[in-house]
Amino acid sequence: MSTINPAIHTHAPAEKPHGDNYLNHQSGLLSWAFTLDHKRIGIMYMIGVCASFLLGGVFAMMVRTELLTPGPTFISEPTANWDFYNHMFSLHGAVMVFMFIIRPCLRSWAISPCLSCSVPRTWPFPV
Amino acid sequence: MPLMLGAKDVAFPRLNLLSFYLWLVGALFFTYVLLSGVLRSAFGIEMWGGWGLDTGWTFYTPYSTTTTSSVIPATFGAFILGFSSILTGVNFIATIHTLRPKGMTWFKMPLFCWALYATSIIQILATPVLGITLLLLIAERALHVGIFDPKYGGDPVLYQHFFWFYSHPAVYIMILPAFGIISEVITTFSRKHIFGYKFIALSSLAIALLGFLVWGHHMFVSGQSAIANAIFSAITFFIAIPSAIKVFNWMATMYNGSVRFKTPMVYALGFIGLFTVGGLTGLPLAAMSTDVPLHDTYFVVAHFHYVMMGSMLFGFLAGMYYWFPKMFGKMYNERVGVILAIIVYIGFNITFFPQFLAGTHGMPRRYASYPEGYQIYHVISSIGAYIMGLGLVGVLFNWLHGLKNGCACLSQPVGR
Repeated sequence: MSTINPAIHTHAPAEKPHGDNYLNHQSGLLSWAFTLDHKRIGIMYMIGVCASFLLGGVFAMMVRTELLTPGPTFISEPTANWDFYNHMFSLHGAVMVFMFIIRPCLRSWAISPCLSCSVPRTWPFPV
Repeated sequence: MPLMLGAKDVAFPRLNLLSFYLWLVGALFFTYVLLSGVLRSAFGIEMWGGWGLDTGWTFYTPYSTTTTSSVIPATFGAFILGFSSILTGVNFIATIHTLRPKGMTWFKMPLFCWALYATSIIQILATPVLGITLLLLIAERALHVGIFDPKYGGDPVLYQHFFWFYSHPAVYIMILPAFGIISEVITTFSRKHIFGYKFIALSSLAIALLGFLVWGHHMFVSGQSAIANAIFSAITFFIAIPSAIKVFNWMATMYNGSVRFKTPMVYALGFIGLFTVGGLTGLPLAAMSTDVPLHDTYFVVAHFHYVMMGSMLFGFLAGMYYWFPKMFGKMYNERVGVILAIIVYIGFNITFFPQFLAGTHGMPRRYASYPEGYQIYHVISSIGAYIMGLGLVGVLFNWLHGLKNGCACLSQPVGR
């Protein structure tokens, strides 16, 4: 445990009993909402990031569908509601950039339970 | 990362949780504002405070100081998201400095941690600039203080300087962790040590440093001086060096290795391909003479998506598949994973490669309508987008299926 904040108990079991892991160590919504375990926070990020990507992706598809024809494609025909396009377009860009790629996407990795490379670099076979 | 460092957690676990909640609040607020604008413009549904955002993600002045859409709430949402980013950066730097185990010197750290270290430096130094810029934009709209709006004595180009001083380093915030993931995946599935460890580690820092000095290459046609253009162009070319160092070192790692084409490795190879195309098409955009005709065309859109969407998303998916068994103790369907990776790769190229061609023929970005001559590019591009979208939905189902029915027999599954 860190020397910086020894008082904080992160709910990460030191010695894992069989079948017990960070996912089922504690159950209930509150145990997730107030968790200090970086692995659980990482999972929550991951879910949020995937949801953001889905949202941005759906609007990317809508923008691409709108661009299938030179004129209005599915936005309301008689008046050519370009404002709708502007909003879809801005939503795709802003969600993808500010909610997905810039920050949390790979940050979710950073605090997620990835162990693989705790293996020393000097091992003959990186396992 | 804490586990990579042999630490049980990050240096400041409570800050970590706070950062997540800031992100969550910011994201929900941001989504509300943006979606309300879509609903209003599409169906005329009025929502409280919801005028949406129609400026594009860059909030460029002077349009963002004059439009009727909800620029203030949207920028405030981005501001909250920025704080989340800064806090995480602080946390990572503290963790890497203080929680490395005895004997893990800087040059024995996993490359992913090096990438995160470089990323965190950028986050801490650049994100506050975005925060201040967005606050200034809010002040400009609310109080007309005269910073960006010429009507009150401001300068709209100043906004571009501020914005890109953050947003160019930000692309390295996005891509550096992906570099780190790819370094780990390639070395694992080639069954070899990483080639040129120190060069990869230090090239991350070089990118972080140089990334702060190139923002002007977004503004070659904004009227900045010729000498500024020349200097920004030259420094931009310098960035190609550390990027190429990484690509060549990954290739050298695979050379004579025992390469296994598992799902994460397929994504990593896709990453190298897409990043190389994206990087090389960045060079004509860095050279002033070719940037001027290509500026604000689909060429830029394609370049951006190759580097950001292609590389970052493929890095994300490679990492997700790579650490999936470790995270959940379950295994996804390997064969389906590989097939989906190939589908996504093909769909991606069908989507964005025609955009290079459309851009060189002069199709401007952002436009909702266009002359009929460009239709063929857009149709191909849309079809590719549907293929890629289907592939990505398949990836989601692959994960969910793995979570539900996956083989639980893998406790040390990585690297098979």
